[in-house]
Amino acid sequence: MITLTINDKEVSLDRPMSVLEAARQAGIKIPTLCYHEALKPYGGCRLCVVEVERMPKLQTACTLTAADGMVVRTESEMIAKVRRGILEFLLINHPLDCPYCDKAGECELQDLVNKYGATAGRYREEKRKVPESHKDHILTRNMERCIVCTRCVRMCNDVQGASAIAMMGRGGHTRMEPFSSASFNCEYCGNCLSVCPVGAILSRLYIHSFRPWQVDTEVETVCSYCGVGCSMVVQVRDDLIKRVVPRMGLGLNRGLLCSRGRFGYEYIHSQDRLKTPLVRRNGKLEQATWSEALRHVAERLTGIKKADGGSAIAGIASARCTNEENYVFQKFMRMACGSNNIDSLSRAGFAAAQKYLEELLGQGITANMIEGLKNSEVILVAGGDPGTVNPVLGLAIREAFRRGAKVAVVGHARGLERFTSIRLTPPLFREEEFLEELLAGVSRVRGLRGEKLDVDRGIRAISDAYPGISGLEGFDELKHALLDSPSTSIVLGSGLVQHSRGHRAIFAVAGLTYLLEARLYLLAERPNEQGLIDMGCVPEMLPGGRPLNNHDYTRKFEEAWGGPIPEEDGMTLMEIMEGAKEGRVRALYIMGDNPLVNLPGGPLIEEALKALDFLVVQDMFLTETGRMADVVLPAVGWSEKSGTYTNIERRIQLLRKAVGNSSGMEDWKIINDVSGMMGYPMAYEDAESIMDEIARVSPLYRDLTYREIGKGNSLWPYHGEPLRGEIHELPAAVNGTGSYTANFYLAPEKVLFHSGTTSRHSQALMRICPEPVLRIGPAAADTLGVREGDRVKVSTSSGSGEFPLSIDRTISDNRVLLSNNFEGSGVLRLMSYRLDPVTRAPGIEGCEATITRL
Amino acid sequence: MFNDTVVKEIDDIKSRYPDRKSALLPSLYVAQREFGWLSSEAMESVARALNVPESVVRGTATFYAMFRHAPAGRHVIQLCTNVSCMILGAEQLVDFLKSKYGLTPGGTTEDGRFSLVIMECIGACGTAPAMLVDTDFHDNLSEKRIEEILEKYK
Amino acid sequence: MSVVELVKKVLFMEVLQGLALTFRHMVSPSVTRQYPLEKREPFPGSRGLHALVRDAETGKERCVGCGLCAAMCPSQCIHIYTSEGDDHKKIVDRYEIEVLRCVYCALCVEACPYAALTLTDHFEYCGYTRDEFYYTKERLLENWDKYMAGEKGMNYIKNFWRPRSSDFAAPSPERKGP
Repeated sequence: MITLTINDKEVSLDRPMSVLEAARQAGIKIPTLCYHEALKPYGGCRLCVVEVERMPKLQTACTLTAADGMVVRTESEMIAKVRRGILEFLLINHPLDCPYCDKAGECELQDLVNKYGATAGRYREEKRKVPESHKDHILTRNMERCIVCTRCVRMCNDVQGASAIAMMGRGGHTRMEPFSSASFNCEYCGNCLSVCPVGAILSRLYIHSFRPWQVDTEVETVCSYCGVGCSMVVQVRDDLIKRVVPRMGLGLNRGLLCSRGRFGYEYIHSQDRLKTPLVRRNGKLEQATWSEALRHVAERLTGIKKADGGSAIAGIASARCTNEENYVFQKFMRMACGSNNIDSLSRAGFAAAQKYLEELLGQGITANMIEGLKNSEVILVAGGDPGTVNPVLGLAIREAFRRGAKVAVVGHARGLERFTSIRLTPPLFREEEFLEELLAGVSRVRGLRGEKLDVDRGIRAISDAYPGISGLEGFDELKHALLDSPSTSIVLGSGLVQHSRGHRAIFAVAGLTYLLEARLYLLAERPNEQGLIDMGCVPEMLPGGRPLNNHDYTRKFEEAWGGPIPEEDGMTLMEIMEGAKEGRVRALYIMGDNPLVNLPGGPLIEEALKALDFLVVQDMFLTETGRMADVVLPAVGWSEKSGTYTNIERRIQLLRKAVGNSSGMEDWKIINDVSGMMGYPMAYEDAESIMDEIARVSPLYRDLTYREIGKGNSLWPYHGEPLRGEIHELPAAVNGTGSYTANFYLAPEKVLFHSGTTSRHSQALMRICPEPVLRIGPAAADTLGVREGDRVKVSTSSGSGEFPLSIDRTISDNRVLLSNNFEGSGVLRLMSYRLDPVTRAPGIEGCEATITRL
Repeated sequence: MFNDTVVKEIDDIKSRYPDRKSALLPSLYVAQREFGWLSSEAMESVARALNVPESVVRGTATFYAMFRHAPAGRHVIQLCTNVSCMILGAEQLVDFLKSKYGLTPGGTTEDGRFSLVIMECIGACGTAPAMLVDTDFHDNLSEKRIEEILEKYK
Repeated sequence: MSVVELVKKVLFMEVLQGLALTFRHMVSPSVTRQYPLEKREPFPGSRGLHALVRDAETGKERCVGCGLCAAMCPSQCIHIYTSEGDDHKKIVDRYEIEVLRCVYCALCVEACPYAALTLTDHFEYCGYTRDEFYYTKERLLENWDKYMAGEKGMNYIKNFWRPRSSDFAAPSPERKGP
């Protein structure tokens, strides 16, 4: 215990910290400029000087470690004089354009000068003149205002790890510059923007459009872009979102955001939003009133249900919608339509992996805190790039790497390029064999655990089939690192799941997790992929992950829902599509997704949707799928509705309404109304009343209320009962491998700046990354004789497209990457698929492509 | 890009320090020697050779006065104009260089033969004025002596 | 009742005193002004209708839209909307005063760092609808032309408020933008 005296106040510390932190803990404010809680102390601005007894000179509180018995004074005449002097020096070059500068009102320098500074400057000479830089699409640099606290550079280097900006020059001419000198050309996380104490870095999104005190409301909410679920504050003026800012210490992201979260909010106010419901009349989508449209939906669905039974109706839920909406959706499908055909596009990734992992290792196996990654000694990343799919989770891995953890990457992960200790490049599309080999190697040394007999049996089978040694570079190093590590994390991305032998990779990862007692993380591209499964938007499970085939579980739901739950087995996503094509499924209700673009096998999906008698699409925008629909219903988006999201940690977080000027309706409300017209009234008042019902009917969510969720600590397993011991008989592994000898293979790229339907309506994100780019390795570029920026034609068996080409040094094999996030040019449409027999996920590996230069 | 001998030299520098960043300054010297000045390409090469972020290389390179960020002449004259040299006529020598060779401080002759840099004390106050041409030291300068000395540098 | 009082009462002394006052004022000069036929010069610095200062050099408003007037306004009757112009400079899209809500405290004028806003000595304004008292930027600039043009305006500002503009220097075109 360290006890020191600050301003005659005794302060006791439970851990070593600086005098500054000790003072803050005791509620004593010491002014700072270069200090920032997210960064390491720097001692550059000298404003935090304090007097310490028996120290002859003033000390900087941020760099001085508090010692027992220290007597510190934070205010005195001497200190005030020093601070006044420092501020006067800073104002020599800092322009007094506060009335013009957007930072005024939340400017730290302004506040400090107001409190400690001189009222008039004595410096009469010319100030430094540096023209403001507008070259970048997103960030404006005004280096006249820069006070060289270096917070931005330290943030970029030490926390974000992008190292995209530097302090150039020295003395009075020091300025921050992006090293590509024109635009920032970085990850556009904007964290430099949020740590700048003055108006030297400003966002172009809201520049000059409001002053900080003109914000009407501030709403704490959760990001709508990926499964990490970063907390953020939405600032609103006149019912328009003015900006999204993080708040230090708030949520699991602790003040950090990524480009999508920070700059991707503009889609809410997009001109392209659907304004009224659309109903197809005489082959054309025409505007209709809400009551017309809803009645039409109810009548058609009732008709089809009467004619062909509930199983002719299918529903696709969305990982973009809240838990409440997904709950209402599956209840509607099961009770009002009488069908278990409910699935989501998450089946092509997260849901497939999660369901199989839970069957193997029990519910909640992926419920690990992201914070835990930072304390891991070895991190194995396979099947995806956390740096682009879940950027803030990627930051945790980068932090672990800087701390000295071993980060092993299987395959290609651009965001971890400079943060990889062991890079493993198994043959393309045969990563599952590598993982099985690794599992065999580990199990030879570690032995079986004997807790889960089915899993043990599977591991034994694998270790019998493989020698457990591999000539692959890095294999032994990784194996030994894993065996020696006291704390291991495994991060699994959807790249390995979207594979016709994906279940083998998942089993190998599950086996490693089990043997090494590792923490397992599943990357999630959408905000509520976990909640979607938990709410029962999968054919075989009810909310809380209760299996449908067990009457003990179903009885309770039947009582609460007032009717029998259909017994017929439901279809999974691709089966629904195939069923639609064959005419078994006649009506499809899609809530908030765009299967035409987001699923492989474009021609088949299009055929399937065309073959449907009745297609309903609920979305914010008229998507490609919406254009084929019979009824399109405008929904509202993030920040226009309340609800909850479950993130990849299985933390339930509250989404709060911030603006409400759109003409759409909440998804749950639309379904609520349709259901009422179909003779199954639900009568929910608001999202909270839905959560109350969920907490009542599902044992997993017992006693969960918005009040509690709002505190941000609703962590697995809440107060409920997770399901345990539901291991199924192990599916027979599919043996054999494919042979991959083509010149190029097309694979989907996850872009840092986009995630699909919503991001492409955000102008800022479109400015950063305006079009899909074909990424290709340098070796492949040489063989093709193409250069950066050339336009090329990519053809596969399913179609072709033309794209500009970019050479990516991080690609070392013959894969070519193309993103799927732009209108009308999705990569998935160019790919065909083969279903994985176990997870039922569409496997898209080995898509041969030919590339020709135009 | 660096040729193999230079890469080897940088590897050798790297091995002398516990931390890659420490090898930055000596490596930048090597790059300046190889390229004549620190172009974007030169700094990128150093970044890649040491595996440190390019932003760090640029920040460091722009901080120090001894790195050039524009092409220089074949020979760099560094003339001291600090107190002792100034008293003994260094400023007249600056004028002389201008009139005779067309060299202004910070500038380069048209034929690309010389660049002139005004520098602070080089510790030769006893034999002032003094200058460095590339790495060679010359003192007791006069207009005539400068002419003789510069004859040797083509 | 004393004798003196009795005498006063009998002679209607109080009534006569009152009448004396009445007659005296009947012949003294009148102080009533026959408004609106007869108008009086307003006192210097009186607070009437608002105006936005038109910059003599640029011919545009001096206001940069910093919003301090609106922040200071006790009756919250000033609304300012700004945006980024084509040349990246800040432009004031809308500057509106709900005159009917104004209490003429002139804190807005004192708050203005660029002396871009003032109250004029024009006090006669009336209308039939509330909308007429919703002054837009253009109308406020017109007010300046009408009531404060020339030397008058700047003298008015200098003499009756201590404009903070001396701290910031006037927003000349180059100063206004970076």
